[in-house]
Amino acid sequence: MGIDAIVWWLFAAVSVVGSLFAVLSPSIVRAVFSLLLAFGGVAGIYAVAGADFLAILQIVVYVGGVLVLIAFGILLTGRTAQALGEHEVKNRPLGILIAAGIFIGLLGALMKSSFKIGGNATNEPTTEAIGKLLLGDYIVAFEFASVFLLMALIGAAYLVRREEA
Amino acid sequence: MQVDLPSYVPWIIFAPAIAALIQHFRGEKLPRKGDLVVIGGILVSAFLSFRLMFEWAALEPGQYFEQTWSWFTLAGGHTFTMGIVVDGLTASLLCVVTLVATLVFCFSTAYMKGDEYYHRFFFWLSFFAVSMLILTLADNLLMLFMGWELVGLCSYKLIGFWSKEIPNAEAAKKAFITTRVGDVGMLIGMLILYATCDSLSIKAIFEGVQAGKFAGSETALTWAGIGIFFGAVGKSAQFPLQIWLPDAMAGPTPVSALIHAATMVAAGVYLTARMFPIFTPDALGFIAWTGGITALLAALVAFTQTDIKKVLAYSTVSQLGYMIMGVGVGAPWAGMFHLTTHAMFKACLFLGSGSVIHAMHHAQDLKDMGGLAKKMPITFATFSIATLALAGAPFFSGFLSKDAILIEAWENGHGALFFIGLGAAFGTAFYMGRLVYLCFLGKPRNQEKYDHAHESPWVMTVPLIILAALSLSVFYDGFADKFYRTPAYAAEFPITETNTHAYWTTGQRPDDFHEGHGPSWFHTVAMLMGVIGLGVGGAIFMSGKRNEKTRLLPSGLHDLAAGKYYMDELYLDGFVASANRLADGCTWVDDNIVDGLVNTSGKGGLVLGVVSADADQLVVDGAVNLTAAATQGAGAVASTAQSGRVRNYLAAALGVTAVAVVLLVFVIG
Amino acid sequence: MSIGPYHYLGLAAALFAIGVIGVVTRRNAIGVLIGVELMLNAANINLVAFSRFSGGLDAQIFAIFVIVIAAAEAAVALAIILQLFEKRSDVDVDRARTLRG
Repeated sequence: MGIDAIVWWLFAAVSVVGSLFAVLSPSIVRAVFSLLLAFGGVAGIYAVAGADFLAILQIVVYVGGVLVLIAFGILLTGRTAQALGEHEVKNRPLGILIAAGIFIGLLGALMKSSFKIGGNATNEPTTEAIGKLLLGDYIVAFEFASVFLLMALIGAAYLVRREEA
Repeated sequence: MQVDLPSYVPWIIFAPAIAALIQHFRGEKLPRKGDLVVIGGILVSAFLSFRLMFEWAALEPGQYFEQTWSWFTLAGGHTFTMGIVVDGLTASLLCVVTLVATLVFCFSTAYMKGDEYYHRFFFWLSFFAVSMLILTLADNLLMLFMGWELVGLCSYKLIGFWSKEIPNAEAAKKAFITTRVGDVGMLIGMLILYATCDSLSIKAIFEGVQAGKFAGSETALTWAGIGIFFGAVGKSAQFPLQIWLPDAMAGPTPVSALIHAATMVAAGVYLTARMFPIFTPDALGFIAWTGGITALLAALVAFTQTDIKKVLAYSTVSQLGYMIMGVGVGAPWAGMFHLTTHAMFKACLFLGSGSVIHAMHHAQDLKDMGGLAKKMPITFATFSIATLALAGAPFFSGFLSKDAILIEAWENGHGALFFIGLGAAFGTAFYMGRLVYLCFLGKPRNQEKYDHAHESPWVMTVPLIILAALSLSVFYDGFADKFYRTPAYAAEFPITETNTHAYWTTGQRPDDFHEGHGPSWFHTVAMLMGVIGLGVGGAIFMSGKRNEKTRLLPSGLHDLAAGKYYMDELYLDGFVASANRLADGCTWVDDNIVDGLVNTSGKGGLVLGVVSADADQLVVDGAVNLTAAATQGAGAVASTAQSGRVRNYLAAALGVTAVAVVLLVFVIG
Repeated sequence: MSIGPYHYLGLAAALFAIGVIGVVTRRNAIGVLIGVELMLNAANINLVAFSRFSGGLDAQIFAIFVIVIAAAEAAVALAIILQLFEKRSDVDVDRARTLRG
């Protein structure tokens, strides 16, 4: 096993363990911190796969943005998060059954398929190339994404406004 | 020969489309609630249509405009194109649609004045124009089908425009569902053609048929033709799907004039004429007889109706039968010709009836009318001219086109259909005579309404005058020869084995063609049919003893016709009732069996939970939870126990996904 | 044994399944959101894997757009959760039962 493979398995383990805790932990606060671990692990996987820009993006957006948002959410809805306590998780056997079904199904599909490997990406920095693609071939999608984000921003702001009496 | 399309042609569609968009978003806030925008849009479209028609007319015979763009490609290299083809059929129908639409839009500004949803009415009118123009200009069946369904939608929205009244909403629903039955047939026909020719472009289909792709399976081609024709049966209200059109008169009268008389219902005739080269002789026989039977049956029903719009509605069904018969006997040019002339005089009749209804404050029954000629001279004059045209009196447009159909029926050896057509022509003249007399002549039967009646404003009478003028035969001299004898592709695809009239597909007169005179007594008889019919229809009321309730048919036949041949009841008892029974059965199974199971297992879980309260918490919890989960899962799947918990719905959806994935991968794959 | 596409896709399948557990079993709306984020991440791992083993960068572009959408989704979802909290002073998805028929 090369050093790459060892690092890969390490990050994979981190993300799987982190996400398992994130969904199984009865405390929502612990769940969020486990999610941090899971996101970090996934970022590591990206890095090993040679997607350095995505790895950074994963850290910046998920860890820096989404996680902080979720933390704020818990902060603002704090009272009940504790009040739910041990009843927080429900129907666990059913959930695990469904997840196992999906997992086994996906693995089965994976085993039956074969992938043509078109060439290994080199471990060169991807940022420049991605930048050119985003502002070149994908410029329309990029612009739409900006508008979409603006819409989400306005929508979110509209949703949380206080009703005027 | 194909010629490049002038660049302004797409604007024929875009102009009303932009107007519709503006009307949709800003209509209510614009001055006059935006009707001027919509009229402007259709005026641009009409102007361009006429320009296009003149440009087309300047081409050599047999030439047509066509342009296609690639649209999308499916896996396996099946490319779909969209395109516009402009030949005589298209050019004339474009002008008919945009002209009648313009006049009807103007008429509507007065007729719908003060309506709460005035702006929305104009939005749907404009949207209808867009859809109809897409249908008209399409050079492939897919685009045509899109326009086809869109006009159906507009028709539905406009029939049910005053949907606060339940019968109107019911009529809209009936129209939508009934035409949908025909559309399924059309879709099947399209699929057969696509499966064999690997394209939905009309040109490619003709090429495929000509290249003998159906060789050895002419039955399949017959069924494809009948399938396509079934779309026309639904849309053009042919027997046995004619039941929706009379009910569709629940919509505002301008809508009846535009959609249910002049344009949309004629789309079926246009489709059969456009697709004519694919019809085998068997399919054509089917088409001809469907049209003939419709023409006669609907004319008889019109004898018994007392609602002014219903009489005109059955007349429309009857005339559409005529056109379809024209196509079926191998003379699509005659069918199309009748479509054009009919659009003008029938729109005039409907708008005239709208003018009367407007004057009578929305009374439609003949019992309230009579003697209105004095009060509404312009309406009466235009209505009479259009009636003469419909009855087929000489010097009016209907005479030319109806004659053409009857002669073609005779020439092509359909003797029985010829006499059926002659009978229907007499019937038409007769009930129109009855209508005009009962409405405009004689003594007023409702003095109060009569006293309040008044001539309509000029925005309503001017369209009437224009349409009445266009019902004169002088405008149609040589018209059919110019526009309908050589449709697009005709010169390129002389598919002579599959149809009966080489004249249509090659543009060449066969040697034994008799220059369309038919039997020598024909013109005399046809002329007499119209005039005598009208005269008798009016004169029998002259004595004042008879009124709109008088039975003009033998008693049994009258009951049958007045009951519309009991087809509504047949459909209600047959199809709708069986569907309802099936639904009831499903409800019973749901209530008694599924719910029972769900409740029992739920109770079981509850009992188990109570009894073993002291037992090992973990095991019991698990069991109870599992039972509850199973209950909830089953409940959600059977969609009976709607808990309202989104999470449970999600769990059910994901659970089904998991099962499906596992099955797909391990069992099926 | 070097790491091939199967490893990545297997890992993605695992994360996706774990995310499903979170979505199905959590009563706290924020917990549900966490599950959804995990599922989106799993999809992204697939895209990165395809990018790595096909030699092109286009799949990574898609991954970027997925991240954009995930971020927007998180923002809107939290706005909804906060509004829910405002209205009912809890974030228990099981008590929001207005869909009940």
